Amino acid sequence: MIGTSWIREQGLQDALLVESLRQLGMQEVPLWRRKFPERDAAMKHWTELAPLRDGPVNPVRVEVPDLAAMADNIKRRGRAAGADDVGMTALRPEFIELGVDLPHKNVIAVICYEDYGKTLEGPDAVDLEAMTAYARCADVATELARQIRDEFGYSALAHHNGSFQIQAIPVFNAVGFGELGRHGSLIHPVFGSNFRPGFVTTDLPVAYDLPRNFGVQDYCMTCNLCRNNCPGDAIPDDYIVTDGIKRWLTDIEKCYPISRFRETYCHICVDVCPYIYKENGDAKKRDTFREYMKVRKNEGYKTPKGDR
Amino acid sequence: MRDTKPQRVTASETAYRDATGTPTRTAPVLAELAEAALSLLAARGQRETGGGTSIHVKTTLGVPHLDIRCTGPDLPKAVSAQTAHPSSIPKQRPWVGTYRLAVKAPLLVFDIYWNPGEPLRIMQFSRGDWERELLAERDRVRVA
Repeated sequence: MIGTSWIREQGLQDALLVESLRQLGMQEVPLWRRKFPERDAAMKHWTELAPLRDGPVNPVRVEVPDLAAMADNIKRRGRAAGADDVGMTALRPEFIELGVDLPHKNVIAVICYEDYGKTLEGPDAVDLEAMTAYARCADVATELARQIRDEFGYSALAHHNGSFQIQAIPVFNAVGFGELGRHGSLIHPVFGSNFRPGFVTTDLPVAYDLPRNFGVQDYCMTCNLCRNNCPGDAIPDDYIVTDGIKRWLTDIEKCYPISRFRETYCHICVDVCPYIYKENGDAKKRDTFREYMKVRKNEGYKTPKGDR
Repeated sequence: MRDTKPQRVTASETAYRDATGTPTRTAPVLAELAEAALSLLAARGQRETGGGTSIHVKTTLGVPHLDIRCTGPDLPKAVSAQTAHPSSIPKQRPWVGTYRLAVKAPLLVFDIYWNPGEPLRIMQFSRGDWERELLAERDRVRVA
């Protein structure tokens, strides 16, 4: 199946990032130039897992007469490996990177929660938590793919930050993790947008999950907290529509000066999103949100983190 | 390997981030959209004093409008048949393109940058209903 979604490259393989650096007369990306050993270790971890994405498939294939039972089995395994939610659906061209051929029928999505409490500890704590969650997702996806190949006898390929050909948001939407928000991230009813992704594409037969809507796209039309707090003014009023879904495309050229060309991590658009508690009613997260919004107010909303 | 991987090469056969950097065939959908935008500019675009050509297209299928702009010394008829492999981008610095073609609908949904005879670079490409509008407008201009 040939993919139809273009996915922005990371780092200096992103042509827009390189052009932005050139226009500013910069050679390196300050965020990554700065030494941060704990964060760098997490990034090294997922890079080291890249060669383990794929592997030999057990020639003895387990028959799957009950798709729902297999889906439950995979979800249990995903959670046991460290995922906070697991969903699955049929692979479609729009889930796959433009021009890439993935020879699988299904996609399993896993997410790992980032502790929202880190928001009050400053940008380094949020950065480290995010990178640690990415590394956990890489572990989960790699392990789940291995189990599917080894124990069930079906091909399976892990996708994570070390290497991926899957477009995350449309898969998340299809497996019922939630809805796309104005800030450009998917909003989960339990975790808000405080999570990171991993995927397994596979031929293992499973029952599919269904999309789950709880009013996010309508709420984002009037909320605007992310838009009003973005230091780069990168979150738009307007949106485009793709397959019936509103997409407020972040202006990346405005985002980079804040999120890449400073030495501190920016996660403000997610951290000011009320859906961290709004749908699930978690009192602790609500209190953290209110405390953090006081910080934002004191900083004048659009001030980048770390500039206090 | 990323967005312009040759078809029929599976992801599991070719590791990401360690390819040779060889340019690959420009995705047909990207080439078609680029050439539709260029044909609209050629037919109805306004030449700007700064060297670009632009057009504001009122649409009919639901997208508010399209704004198309191409900068460069002239208006090209087509884009490169090849796309730069992402791994080549860090190795070619500094790099400046001659032509840049962008479509807003109303947000920036399509942005490519290239030099004649060289593989193009994709700066932005967000799929959506705007593609249908662009191709429909191209067809209307063709008929006219």
